[in-house]
Amino acid sequence: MVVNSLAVAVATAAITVTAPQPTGALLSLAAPGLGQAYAGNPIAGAAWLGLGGVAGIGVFQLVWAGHVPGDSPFSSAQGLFAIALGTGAWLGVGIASTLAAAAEISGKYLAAESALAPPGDRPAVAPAPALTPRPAGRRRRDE
Amino acid sequence: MRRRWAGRPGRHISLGVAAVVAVAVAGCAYREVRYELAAEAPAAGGEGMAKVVEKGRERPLLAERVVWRYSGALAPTGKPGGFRVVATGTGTVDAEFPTPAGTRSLSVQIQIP
Repeated sequence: MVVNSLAVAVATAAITVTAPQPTGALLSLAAPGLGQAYAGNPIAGAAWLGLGGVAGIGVFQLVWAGHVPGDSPFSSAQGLFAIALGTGAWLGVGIASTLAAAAEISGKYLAAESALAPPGDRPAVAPAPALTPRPAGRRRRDE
Repeated sequence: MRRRWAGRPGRHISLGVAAVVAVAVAGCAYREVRYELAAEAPAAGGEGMAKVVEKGRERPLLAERVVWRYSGALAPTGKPGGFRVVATGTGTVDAEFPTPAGTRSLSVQIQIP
């Protein structure tokens, strides 16, 4: 809250807000939760990051289960498949995180925009002048 | 006929991801928006109006979308943004309104002689 005190005819106070841009939500494609952190919600960002990690590692572990520790997943088709599915799960959570961040940022923009008065808050067309009856007995020159 | 990009799909996926991240980083600059609350200082017994304006575009906020609070020597009238002087001394106008960064508030104090 900004407080200003003036003993004049009009008292004013001002504030400058820094608003995130909607395109910043795309950061969540690089890592889930980055878009939320950029939007000013680091707790949600951390939750999305954790969800992405759990999804990626969990899917990889499900497919790669049963192998002895020390086996490299890069040396077998099943291992590569597990890596691909885990990466896909990570990217899927990233896409969901991107959509959520975009909705959050856009929602704030829409709320702020809808609170503004319409531009040029005045009638678009000037009212037509009232018609006055022509005096009786007088005719226009071209009639 | 051999397709031009055949055999190197990974490179294009990487380029696509890099382009998306580059757009995201480029769009990450925060936008600054300035708001101003202005309130008339009426004489004792008079009425005044307060309004919030987005300074960049000089567009006022709809008074009914602002949460107005008055304290001290001021009391609300029925009209959004309107207030009347009920005593002498200091009166405060609080305005809470939506911005692209969330809800923010501004406050002005008015001296009533």
